[in-house]
Amino acid sequence: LIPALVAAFYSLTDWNGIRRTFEFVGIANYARALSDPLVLRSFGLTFALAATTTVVVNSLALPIAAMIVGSSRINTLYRSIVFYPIVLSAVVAGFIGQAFFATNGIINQALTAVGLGKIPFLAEPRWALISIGILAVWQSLGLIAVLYLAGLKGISKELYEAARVDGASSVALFRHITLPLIAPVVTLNVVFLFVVGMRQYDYVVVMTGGGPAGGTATLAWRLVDVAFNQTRYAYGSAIGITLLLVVTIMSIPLLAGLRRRETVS
Amino acid sequence: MATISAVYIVPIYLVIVNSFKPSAEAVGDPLGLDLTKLTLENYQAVLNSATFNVTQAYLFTGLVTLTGVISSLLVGAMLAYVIVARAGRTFQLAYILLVAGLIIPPQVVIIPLVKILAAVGLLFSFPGLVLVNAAGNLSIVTFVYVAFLRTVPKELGEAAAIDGAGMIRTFWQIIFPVILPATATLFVLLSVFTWNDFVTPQLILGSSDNYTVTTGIYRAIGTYQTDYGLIFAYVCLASAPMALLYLVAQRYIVGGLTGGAVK
Repeated sequence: LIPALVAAFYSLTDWNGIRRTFEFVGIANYARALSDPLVLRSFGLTFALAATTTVVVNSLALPIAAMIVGSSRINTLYRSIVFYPIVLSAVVAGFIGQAFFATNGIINQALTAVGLGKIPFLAEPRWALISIGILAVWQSLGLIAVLYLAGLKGISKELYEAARVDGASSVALFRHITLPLIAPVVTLNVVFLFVVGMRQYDYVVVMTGGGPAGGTATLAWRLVDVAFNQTRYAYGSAIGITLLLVVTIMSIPLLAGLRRRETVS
Repeated sequence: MATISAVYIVPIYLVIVNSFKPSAEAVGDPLGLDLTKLTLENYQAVLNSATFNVTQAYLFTGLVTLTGVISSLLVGAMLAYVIVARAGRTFQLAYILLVAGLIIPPQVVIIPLVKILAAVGLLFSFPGLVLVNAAGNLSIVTFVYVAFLRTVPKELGEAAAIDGAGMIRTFWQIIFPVILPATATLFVLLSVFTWNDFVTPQLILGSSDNYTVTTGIYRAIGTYQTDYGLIFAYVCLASAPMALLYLVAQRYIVGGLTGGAVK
């Protein structure tokens, strides 16, 4: 926590990280960050990436968890299969992703082999961002599914049986029993994925280096670039503190909104 | 479910199989598996690489991981014990501050951390990296231990106190054995996270001679971008220790994550 305060302090100065002296410049760094088109663009695409992966992963993970909730041997195997990417380093996952998505990578070779054109996965800004999103979904799906699994296991079977005796359909079972009871897990997963997504850095460094044309320069990547490659520590700190504030502020309504849904349903 | 599994099995299959194939083969026919053409040349190339010494990277990362994780577990356990046993304001405040550390993105604190380390002369060094890792882990460790210790009846510690045991003795003889299950899970999880961490070692070790497995392969692969056989050999070597740990300790990982989620 102390480093965070130190960062907040630097963010109010014009220190470049090397000089011994610096002057207070007040909120100038924040003002600059908020009007810097590069920072704003990074913010926009980081937010889009975080929001999309959060939605996609959660909507895939819950059905998967429901499918493998039984404790048969095949389900245990499925669980291990989906979960293994979590022990891979994000750097390693990034390199695997690069091998698949590169212009002459594995996916494009497969597409060419069946007579389809290549997709510019890492060569075109929008596709590059999508590729990173796909990789993020791939790697985090298992973890989120396992968390849902734990939630589903906590629901007693009698509830379902009782409802079924009363003639409830499968959809009704899901809406009125499953969903309300696992709502706390949903909250946890949504907030967790969103916060992690807003920090996206490793995949970007390995797969695209922020490119092409800055199309995958996430906020965390921008921060490191500004502070360490351009040695503008004070400005980098201001971006960092802004990121921290944004994540915190956005997590609160997200938490509150999901909590409310928990109690209503 | 079978389709979904394929999305997970195909990549790992491709990575492992192609790491044993000559590069031309890997590019021309990534899916194929021709047993007569399998080769160890990629692994030989990696082992003989001038920029990336596998043994050194394993040892360095292993030491960083072990010392960082064990020290944070020790300090975290004692902190949690004090926080739970003494209900005073100071300790509660310390707890809230520690937990607040959980939501701070590592990139935000890394700038001042690098400056602090440089000021005390620990930048680019092993102790510097271990300290940062240990301190970074402390929030989550204390958080989990406090949650765990709150489920342990207070009478346990009180009984020991009546028998004349001091706080330190109570900790080692009574509390420590009780929190062993949580310790096992935390140990496995934190080891995986520390081993795989990239931002922290990248920025703290910088361009010095020290590298962890992740920063090492990042540096080494940069020059070989398109040789998939070689890249996959690096990928396999970098992931092997944690893959083994995962196979051995799978129930601790899954158990730990799900246990924490239900609370």
